[in-house]
Amino acid sequence: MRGDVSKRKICEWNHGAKGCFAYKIVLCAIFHLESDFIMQKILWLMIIALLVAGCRNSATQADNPAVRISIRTDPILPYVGDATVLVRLSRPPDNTPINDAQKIELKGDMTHAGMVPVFGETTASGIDGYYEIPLNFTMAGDWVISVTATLANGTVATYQASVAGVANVMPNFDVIEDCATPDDNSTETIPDCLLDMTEEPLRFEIMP
Amino acid sequence: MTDLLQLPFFKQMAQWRYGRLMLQIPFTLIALLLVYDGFTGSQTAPENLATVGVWVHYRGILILALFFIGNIFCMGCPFTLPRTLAKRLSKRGKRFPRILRHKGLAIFSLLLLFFLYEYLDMWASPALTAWVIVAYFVLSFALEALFTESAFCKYVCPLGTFNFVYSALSPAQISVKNRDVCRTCVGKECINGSYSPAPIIRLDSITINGEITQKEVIHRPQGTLGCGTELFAPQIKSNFDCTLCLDCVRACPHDNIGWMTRRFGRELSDASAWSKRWDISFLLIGLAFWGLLNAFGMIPPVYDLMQSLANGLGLPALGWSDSTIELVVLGMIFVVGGIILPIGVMVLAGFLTKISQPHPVETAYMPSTPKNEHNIRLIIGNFAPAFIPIGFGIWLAHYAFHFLSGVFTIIPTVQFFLLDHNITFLGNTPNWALGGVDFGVIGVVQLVALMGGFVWSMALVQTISLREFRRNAMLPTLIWGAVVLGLMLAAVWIFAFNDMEMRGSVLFH
Repeated sequence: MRGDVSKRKICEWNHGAKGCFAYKIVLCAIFHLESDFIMQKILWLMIIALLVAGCRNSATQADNPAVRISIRTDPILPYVGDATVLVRLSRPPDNTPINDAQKIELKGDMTHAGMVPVFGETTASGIDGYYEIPLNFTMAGDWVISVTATLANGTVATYQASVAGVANVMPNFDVIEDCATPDDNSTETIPDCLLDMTEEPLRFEIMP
Repeated sequence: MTDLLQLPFFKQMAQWRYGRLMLQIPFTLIALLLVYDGFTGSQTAPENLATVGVWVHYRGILILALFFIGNIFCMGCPFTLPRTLAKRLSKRGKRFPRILRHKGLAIFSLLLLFFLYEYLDMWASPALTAWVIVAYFVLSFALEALFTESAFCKYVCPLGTFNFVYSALSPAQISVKNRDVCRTCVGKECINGSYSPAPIIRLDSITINGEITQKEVIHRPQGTLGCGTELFAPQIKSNFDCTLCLDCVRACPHDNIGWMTRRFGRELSDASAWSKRWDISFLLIGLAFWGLLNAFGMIPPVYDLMQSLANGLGLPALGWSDSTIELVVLGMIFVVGGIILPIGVMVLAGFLTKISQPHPVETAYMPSTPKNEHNIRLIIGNFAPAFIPIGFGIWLAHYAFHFLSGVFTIIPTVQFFLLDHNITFLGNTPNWALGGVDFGVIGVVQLVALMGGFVWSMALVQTISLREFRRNAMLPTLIWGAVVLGLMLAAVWIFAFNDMEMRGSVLFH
């Protein structure tokens, strides 16, 4: 008997009704149905969703090829508590240091949703392109560090890198490579000695 | 018993043909919003509605709602909308294959979801979270299009299975008001539904307290649905398999079905409320173990264990990638901790209980016949519901940690989403400082959840032992109590003696 209830019907008001058609899709799907109508409206919804998504601020930001940002943490394998994030700004391809950034801001997020981020910033001038910013890792686990650098000319460059495996306690330093002097002339995005700590940059953007 | 559906507003919503839809539409819109943001928004999990909404707030609110209200998430489930669409698109299909009509698929999908959650670090990936939601929509649509009954809800859905089990604790249940009415009901519309191409009127002779009254029953072209999971209202003794869709309430021509209040967890000590099937017993007991497994995946010892397993098997020397090694060792942990351990423990406890009895077990539910005396399956089936409170306590302790520690983070996440679309009515910058409850308070909540679940389970073990074994209840109580105690100690070790470490990356060396 239940199968008979699901008999196909034509949604008679589907073309004449006014208002939001998302609302109509749901109601039409449940109350009365014409499959072509539903598929057509679902396609329209998807197109609109894509258009809206394309207009998101985050989707319209362009890469800034004029600035290269890299980071490292001190200690290299950080643990819960205070740490220092060393941010280096330079101009590719020869990695000319940028020392006159107005402000550099850090936002540290845990990779798990629902955790409160931590923040750090500096307005001090850089030394050989390096800026030291204190950051407090509040919990063990994987973190994502977002760097927002406001340059002297007002442009903003951003960069994201993951810092994996922040430990609860100080890790065994026997396993740490000597990474005290990163190779600043490297043409790689991240110096080799930092690869254990930071993964490939997630994005490299500029905001108006 | 009070019928909650007699309360103002609830009554109208329950009787209205589209009452459930009014609950489903907001849930559906939320689900679509999560999918949209999951695919197109920031892929940093704390900044995305999909990850914050699903892994922090949905799970936290769900576990609390299951306890205090019941299975209202199945009632408002957005995935049943494509199901309804499929039902209308498809012709009358086949029934779900008989060989699959048990909880095996649901157990598999639940374990698979837990495994993928750990292996793929779903909590850290908005896109993956969105894919999970999409997969739900597609699966529910496909199964409903292929089969006549609510196969997805009853036999596959991992979320629904979780809800079915832990809604056993809730203080409300679908029930009939007067069993006399059901005995003489002709159409049994609560399970059969009703439909007629043209309106027809039937006169039922209903006997109530020995008096026969004529009741007019009308079947209309619009029709009404009967119970999707094929529960017969007068026989419902638990919330298991009930999606709270209220189709039975709407279908009953005698207004004889309600959502009745009851004491918390009443069905746990009712032997007749639970099927003694292997799959259901394994599900009830296994969920407690899986709660531990899920929480174990978030503390540092799991990485030491994975490293030890990898080294012990010589996997790093094989030149495999870290991801492949993790797949193997995490799979081993899940097979052992999620399947072998719970099965081994429940069978061992059942066997010990069996040999602890000096005489053949003779109770109302284990009649002493040559076939089933000392039947381990029945013994395990009787004790399985006792694992629901301790399992619930473990899940609550875990989910409450995430929910309470990040309860206000949904606000900056919504602000971030709106600002990304140039909508500023909630402010010009997200207030990322909003977090949650103090960790000390969360610790107390976890302790109460674990202790409450433990005490409740121990009380149930004793009640069931006395019910089933009477004067010989001492040893069964000790045996099953030891299992519950073991779960409790493991939970205390995980939650109290280890710091949570939200880590997904494992580098084998």
